[in-house]
Amino acid sequence: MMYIFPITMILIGLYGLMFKKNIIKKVIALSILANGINVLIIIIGYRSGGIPPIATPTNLNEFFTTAVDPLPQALVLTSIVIAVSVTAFALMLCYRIFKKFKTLDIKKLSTLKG
Amino acid sequence: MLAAYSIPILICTAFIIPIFKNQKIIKTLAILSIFISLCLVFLSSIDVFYSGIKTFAVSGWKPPFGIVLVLDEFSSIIASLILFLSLIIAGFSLSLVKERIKEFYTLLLLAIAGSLGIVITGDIFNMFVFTEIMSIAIYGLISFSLKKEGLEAAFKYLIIGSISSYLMLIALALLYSQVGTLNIADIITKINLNNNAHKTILSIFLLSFCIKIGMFPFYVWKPDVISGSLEPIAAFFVGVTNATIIYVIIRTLYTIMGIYYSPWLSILAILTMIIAAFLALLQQDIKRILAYGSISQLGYIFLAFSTGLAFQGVYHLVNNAVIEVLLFLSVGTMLMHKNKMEKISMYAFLLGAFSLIGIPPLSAFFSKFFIITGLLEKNLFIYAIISGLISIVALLYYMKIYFMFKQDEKKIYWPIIILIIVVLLLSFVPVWLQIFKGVEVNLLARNEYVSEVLKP
Amino acid sequence: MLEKNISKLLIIFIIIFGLNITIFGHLTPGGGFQGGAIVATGIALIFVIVGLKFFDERTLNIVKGLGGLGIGFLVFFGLLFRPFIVETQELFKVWSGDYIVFLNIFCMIIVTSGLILIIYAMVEKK
Repeated sequence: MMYIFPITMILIGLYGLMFKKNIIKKVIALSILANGINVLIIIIGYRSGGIPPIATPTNLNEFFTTAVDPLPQALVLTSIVIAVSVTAFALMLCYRIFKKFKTLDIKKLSTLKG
Repeated sequence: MLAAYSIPILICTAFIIPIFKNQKIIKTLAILSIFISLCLVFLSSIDVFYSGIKTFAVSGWKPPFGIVLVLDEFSSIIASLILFLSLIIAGFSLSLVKERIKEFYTLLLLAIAGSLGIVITGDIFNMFVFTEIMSIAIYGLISFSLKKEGLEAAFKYLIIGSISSYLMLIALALLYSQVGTLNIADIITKINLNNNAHKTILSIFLLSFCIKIGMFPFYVWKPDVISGSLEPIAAFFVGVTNATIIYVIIRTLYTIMGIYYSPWLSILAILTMIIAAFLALLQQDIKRILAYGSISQLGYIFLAFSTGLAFQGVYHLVNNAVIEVLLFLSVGTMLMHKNKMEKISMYAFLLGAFSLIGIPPLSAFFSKFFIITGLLEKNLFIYAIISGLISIVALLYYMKIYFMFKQDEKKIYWPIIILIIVVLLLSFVPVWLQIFKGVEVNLLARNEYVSEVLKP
Repeated sequence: MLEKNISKLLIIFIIIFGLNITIFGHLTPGGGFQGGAIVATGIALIFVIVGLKFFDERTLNIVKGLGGLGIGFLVFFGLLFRPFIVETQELFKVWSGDYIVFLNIFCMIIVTSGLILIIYAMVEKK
């Protein structure tokens, strides 16, 4: 039931990527898509009634029985870094496109035929 | 395992390069690091061919819990191939790139490190990370010339590459929720192909890579991207990146899923072959025709792999990678001779084109011949006839390119000469038959992969 | 003038906060990348006060290169010698995470210098 949130974010990201004509809006939609997938990964590791996965020498028993899964959280850390790099590169590319083509509309960008 | 050190060498060199201002030091460092990595991977490959699968657990954490680097025969062939081709491409762009050299070599080294990482790793999330490293570096390289075509091509590939990478990540997340582990050998023991959820998730995973490589319904972006980039980068994209993505698809299909005959993938491959060949006839620009030609050859490779002809597929993969790099680099000499082809490169182009069309004593003739006879043995007559006919169409479009060339004077480019020698060497079939039969035996042995990686 | 006075007060806090998140990355959420992003924000505030001439681009490239070399040496060391990573760390002790602390610090250096280089590339000098 909680999966409705990340799936909505992914669908909004895909909608923006396909139907918006401004390339900066496409980059923002790409960022929303990436973050939606990150939320999906975290929610996959959820365990009902779970505690945060911090293990000290005193609460090892509770940690093994009720903590949420720490592995998806490590995956999400890496995934956030990758999404930041892609967004940074995409924005620099938009800047160069604007300097060369003088427009941000993707309909006017197609010089390659076919 | 020696090959594990080549990834840190490449990435460290990519970090050190922006410090220097002297061009010669940068170029020497880049070529030296690629050469050292090639030697390390080559030595590891010889070791693997003599004594079986080699694994390396990073920092000592044992396989199901830590990341493990795996070299079996298929990985070692592809790793040696991509490092050799990238050494040739780096050597060719020594004379081509005149300004912003730091950025070019940094991005090229990161792309090579990413591709090598995909081939060597045995952990599926690590594969995602290296795919992203390679993709971001390629986005930068495609837009390197900062002309209108380059920027537009880079933006198109960024959107499509990102969508396919995120699709792969969704499939990874769902796979983790079903299986509970991220190690490839461990996934093989826990996957049950009768379970519909597992089948769907692995199909999504395959689909994301089919989008990234340009199979039938998803090929529309590829000719734009290839014709918008500089020729050495197009050679890298068609030679190295194609080879690594084919590696991932075959690893998923043969080792993880264990499917050796897949009718749907063979239908997609045949459609790719036919449609790309006919579209190549309609184009006017040299690089677009070459791009469609490379997509058509991909159809051959996937036709071979999806009908169980593993050794023929590997032979055609190696031939195709080397010849496509030769074709693109020889067209690339046009950049340095003011739109005229240099004499030796024209003959090199003819050699590569004749090989891909299927003229007898050359290398790709043998691989296509083996594919067609393999298809006839499996009673797939229609596929065999179509493969033969498409070779004739290939003759038409490669000759169309040849008559567009204007000749210039002679100048020796060492990378092209080395590639000509390699293409001629690849036609000594008995040697390669032995090696690739060994690779096929290794590809079909799933249980040995699992037991070698997971032994305590 | 107002933004310059407020920024002068905040910069030192932001940088120390970023260092805190980096160094205790094995105990609290955070680590190299997050700490690096925070320190880069702090240094970006310096540009509000002084203008963009604070760092020389070559220095930033050298810093980034040294960070990369640091990570490279650590990776070689890790691949060769199987470093000992403690399984349960004690709270409030920095050196209880033997190998991870150095990874975090070098990662922070690389990320900070990289993000500031991105800021430099985005702003065009008229």
